[in-house]
Amino acid sequence: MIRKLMKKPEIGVITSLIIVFALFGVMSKGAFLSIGVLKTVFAVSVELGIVAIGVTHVLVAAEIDLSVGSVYGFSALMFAKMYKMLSPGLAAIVVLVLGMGIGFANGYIRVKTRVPSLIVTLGSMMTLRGIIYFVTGGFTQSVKASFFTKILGSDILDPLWLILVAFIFTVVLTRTPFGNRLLATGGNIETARTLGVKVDKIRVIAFMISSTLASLAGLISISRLRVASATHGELMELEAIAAAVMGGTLLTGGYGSVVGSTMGAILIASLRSGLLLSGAPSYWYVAFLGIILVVASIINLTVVRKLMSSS
Amino acid sequence: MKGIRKKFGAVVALDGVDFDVGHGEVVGLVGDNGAGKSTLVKILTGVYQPDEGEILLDGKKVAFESPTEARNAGIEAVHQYGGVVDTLDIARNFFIGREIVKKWGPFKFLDLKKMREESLKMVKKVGIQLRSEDALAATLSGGQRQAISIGRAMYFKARLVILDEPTNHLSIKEVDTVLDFVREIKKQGTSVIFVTHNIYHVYDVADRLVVLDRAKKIAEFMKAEITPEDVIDTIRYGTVSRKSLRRE
Repeated sequence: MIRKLMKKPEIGVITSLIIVFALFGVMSKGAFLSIGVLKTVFAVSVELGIVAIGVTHVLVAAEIDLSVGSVYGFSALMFAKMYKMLSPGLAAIVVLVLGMGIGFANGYIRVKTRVPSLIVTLGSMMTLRGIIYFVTGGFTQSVKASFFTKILGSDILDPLWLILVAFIFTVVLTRTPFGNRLLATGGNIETARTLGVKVDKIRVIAFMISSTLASLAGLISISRLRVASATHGELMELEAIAAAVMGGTLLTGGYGSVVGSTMGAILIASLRSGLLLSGAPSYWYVAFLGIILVVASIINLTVVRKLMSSS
Repeated sequence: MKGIRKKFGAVVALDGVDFDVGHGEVVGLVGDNGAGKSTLVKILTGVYQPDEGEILLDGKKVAFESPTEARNAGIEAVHQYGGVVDTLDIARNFFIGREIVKKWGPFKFLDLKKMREESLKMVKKVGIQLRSEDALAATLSGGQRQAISIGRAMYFKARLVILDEPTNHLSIKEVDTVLDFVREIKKQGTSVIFVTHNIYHVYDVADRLVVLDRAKKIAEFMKAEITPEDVIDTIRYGTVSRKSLRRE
């Protein structure tokens, strides 16, 4: 049983998670493991986790989506802007549809023009951020509390949102024909194409999943915090991709783990809070993030290499 | 196939090629690099569409706009690198694009158990030994990967199997397995097109040999009237060579 567990690529992130929790528990003299702290950690994990799960699908397709941080921020801020004009429910639906549309645009441009996704999503990332600054004028936006924000932003329900999204997309990736074809497209696009897989359609859907989930996460974040600055979501794309890679998803495509990405997100969220609590200077966070990313990835890649070797 | 023409920009890949293969017949398609063999194969498998000419299946005119259409018509191709995705296991590889599903209301889920059973059954039938049944394709040898492609063609009851340089990266035993497979499906009435550089391998199993050179068909031999060396000379010199007959 242990042997089987050791073979799973997610082992790297699980190990790191245990170590980090133990380390911070000790360093903060137990404060890290208090309810208040864990609540914040999980809150951040939910949002980052949902974005990471979305990005995982794009990475599996051997593409990349750098626009998720901007979509996240854009969604939160658009929601705030529309909140005053439309009912919260309607505003949320419009925002999600916009998210889907951005994903469609990313995917469509990628497959039709064949410009690498790195460039396409870098472009949409910057364009969206520009639109954010334009629409908000650089000012922080806020929303009033309402039934809707209580559902999306509640401390108790938010983890359930993450679990729901994680469950749905684990099934999608591992147990559906779409998931198999997504894995095939990322693993060997030419083989998939000759075998009749509609690789263009599959990739567009992957980008749509990524953007829509980023949108959802943005909605959850503003429901919880009820304020968002114009910089909301900046650098989040890097954290999301780091979370996915830590969790075992291959940057080269063909393999990805929703569970792994979720754990990666929890790890990153814990890191942020844990360092804060331990009184470490806040810039240590980025350094530690880099170190953990490399260490967890080395562990995961070693496991994957073992799985792929002929010995 | 009649009068097939295909151009890529200024490059003429096929210039009025006629080609046919009958039920239970094995035709070797040979020729030097750039002769047009792989373009012909890609037209048959629906990857390319011919600029001119027609394709007839059992006398009826057909046109393949996509690989899926070709496969639905019963044409399967086995490519030299196995046509296999490294990061997936055998079962998933076997059914890419044609997954076995279980329905649950409006949702379709993979029937992984059945996929595993059927794929392993077929692969074993082709005669390959596996060290681990759940292994990822990356761990398999050239012959084992070939077996997945071959098993796939058998499972989906192909009427025409196109083998594209199938013996290139195989060991001696693995080559024997492939040639045995060709003899076996020939007995079952399947048509086979065997594309290769290795005249000796294809000569063993072919009924007829077609030689392409610079976008045209320059020779067609029945096995009985020729030796492998004649075929090699034909390719080498670009003209039909029948030294063996001259000796008589």
